[in-house]
Amino acid sequence: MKINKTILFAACGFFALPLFADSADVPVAKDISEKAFTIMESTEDILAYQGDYSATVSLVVEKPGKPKENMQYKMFERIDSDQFTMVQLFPEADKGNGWLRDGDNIWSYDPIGRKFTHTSLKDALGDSDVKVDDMKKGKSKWRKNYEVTGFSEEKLGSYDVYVITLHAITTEPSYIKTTYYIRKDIPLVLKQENFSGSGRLMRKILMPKYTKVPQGYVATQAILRNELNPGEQTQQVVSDLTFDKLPDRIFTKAYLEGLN
Amino acid sequence: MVNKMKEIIQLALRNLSRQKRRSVMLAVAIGFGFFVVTAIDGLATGALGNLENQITQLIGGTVFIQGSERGPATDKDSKGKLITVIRDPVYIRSLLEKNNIKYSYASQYTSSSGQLLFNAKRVIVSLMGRNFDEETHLVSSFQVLSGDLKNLSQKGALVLSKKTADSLNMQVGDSVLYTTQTMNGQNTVGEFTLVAIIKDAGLMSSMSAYVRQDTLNELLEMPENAYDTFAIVLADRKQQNNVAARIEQLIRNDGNPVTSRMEAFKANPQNPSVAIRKQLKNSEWKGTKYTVLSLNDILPQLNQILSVVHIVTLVILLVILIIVMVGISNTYRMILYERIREIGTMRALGMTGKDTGMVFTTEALVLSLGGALAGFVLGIIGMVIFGLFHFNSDTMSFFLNNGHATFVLSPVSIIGQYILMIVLTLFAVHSTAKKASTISPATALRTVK
Repeated sequence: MKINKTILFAACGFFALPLFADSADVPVAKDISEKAFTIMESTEDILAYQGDYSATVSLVVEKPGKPKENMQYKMFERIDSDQFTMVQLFPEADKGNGWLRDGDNIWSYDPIGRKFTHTSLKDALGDSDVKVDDMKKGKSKWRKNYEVTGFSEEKLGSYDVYVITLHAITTEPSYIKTTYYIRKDIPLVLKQENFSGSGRLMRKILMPKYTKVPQGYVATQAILRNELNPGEQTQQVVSDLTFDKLPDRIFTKAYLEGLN
Repeated sequence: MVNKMKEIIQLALRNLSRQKRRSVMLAVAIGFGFFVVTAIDGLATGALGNLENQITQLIGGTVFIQGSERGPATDKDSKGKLITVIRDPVYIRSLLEKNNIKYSYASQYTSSSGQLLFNAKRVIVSLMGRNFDEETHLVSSFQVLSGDLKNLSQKGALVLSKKTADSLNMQVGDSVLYTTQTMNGQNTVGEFTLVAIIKDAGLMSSMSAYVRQDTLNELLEMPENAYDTFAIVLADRKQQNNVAARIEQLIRNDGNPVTSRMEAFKANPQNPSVAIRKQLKNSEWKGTKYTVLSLNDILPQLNQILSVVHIVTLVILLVILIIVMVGISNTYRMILYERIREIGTMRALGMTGKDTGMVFTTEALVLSLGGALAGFVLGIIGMVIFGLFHFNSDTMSFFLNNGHATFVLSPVSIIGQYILMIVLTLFAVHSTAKKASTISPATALRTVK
């Protein structure tokens, strides 16, 4: 199957990307830490992704020395039960490739061979730009997995932002250190920076555009930039968002098989 | 007795020389069979040996001891992440020394897989963190094409195979990024400087890259003296399963948690290393749980392929021999008829029936053994010539040694093939020899051709 898993899960993680930051490896004072965690939790509360939703995700992948690649997917997700279905729409050659997620299990579907291949969430994300904790939801993850090592207020473009740096204290987070830039007026993450243990910037996610829907905010544009390979980035644009209840059959193998 | 045997052999040789063309044709048929079988068997065993050598070089040994720890559980259903590390730098080595377990050499290394990134080019490598000061056997095995191994003492020193360096378009002195995951599974990146480019023995060895162990430990956030694998290379590879079993028992006797190879073989005889991973996944323990594996456990397919090759060559030989033996049987029936009056004369002059039969049997055996020996020698010559050719194919390089085919002959297999041939020859001439031994001189002399 030609589909690039990296891009696929980048798209998938984009919806779940909760929040994000900078550094100093010494924990901040308790009251500052409490404030930072409260802000991090509020970035999740404000997002529209509760219950069911569907969307079309368009990706433009740029790699140095290679022509741009365009891809498009239709996504369906049921947040409450960790269910997820995605079907590739473009390019034509890969049309019909599908993915089905139920909890930590993922099946990929090859419409030509009409076969499902099972993989775990961790395996699937292993070689992608999106990491396991990008996919995880739940406000408790912040306090459980991180300590706050940096907190400041700065300006990002025209926005006043909180700059919060979190240091992993468990093995769950995919990066040891992450800095999040969060708008002060509305707790939306505008930028996320992931660092290695030695403090080198590895990945940057920019979320310049949010759309307000009745259920909350949706990041309709995101740019995932590989900071280790200058020029390599993936742009994601989300459109056709709906938050209606989705039929159960969408989250079944039969649904993917029936599309072809 | 000896004299009589000598006379019988002389008689058999004389008889063979009387019909040279016929004898040569029969010997050539047998020789061809042995040539084919020797060549297939030798080259296939050599190819698998080369594959095993490459894997041994890639993972550093034939018996491996690894340690696993459980990270903290993240929720009530979780057992905690599996972390591969042995923190005690001396326990395994001293255990082997104390119990007099002999090996050619041992490596105590840290390994990691990840991507090298240089000027927008990426290559997946297996990065080995080795102690170059102690592992002189490894350093001396490097065939340096450019650069200097003296620079291995530099902190970020990196050694790459020519194939990998070429893929990245790197020269000695270039700096490269390496992305991987820490011991705890978090993404990280390190920077290394290429100090030497070495010749690769094959595709598999070309995937290995070498750095200092302390540098890799730091990148993987492992304690300075920790490592993930203790690998030993045995002088006799056939002992690997016995040695692995013994080490496992010694660790168990010491009161340390250790996985069970025996249970793994019961659960998954085709691939015990998968069952070992399941044991780790499904169990809980405190501290370090050790795993002992032989190369056979990790790659049981190697032995399975070798067994299949031996069976296939045996079947080929059997088919060829049966065809030839039918020819020999018919030929000797004809020879008996041709020499019937000669047999009568010899019997009349005092030769016993048993000796008459022995002449026929000896004749056939000399013919078969001569043909087989010629085929065997030609097979070796053929393989030596084939080994002189150099192949550049990546796919074939798994089975080659520096681009050349090698061969290995198994004495047991060869002896078995010869025994099979002797048995079939005896069977083929049995009825003719029996008839020659029972025929009366008068009947023989009366026979009109």
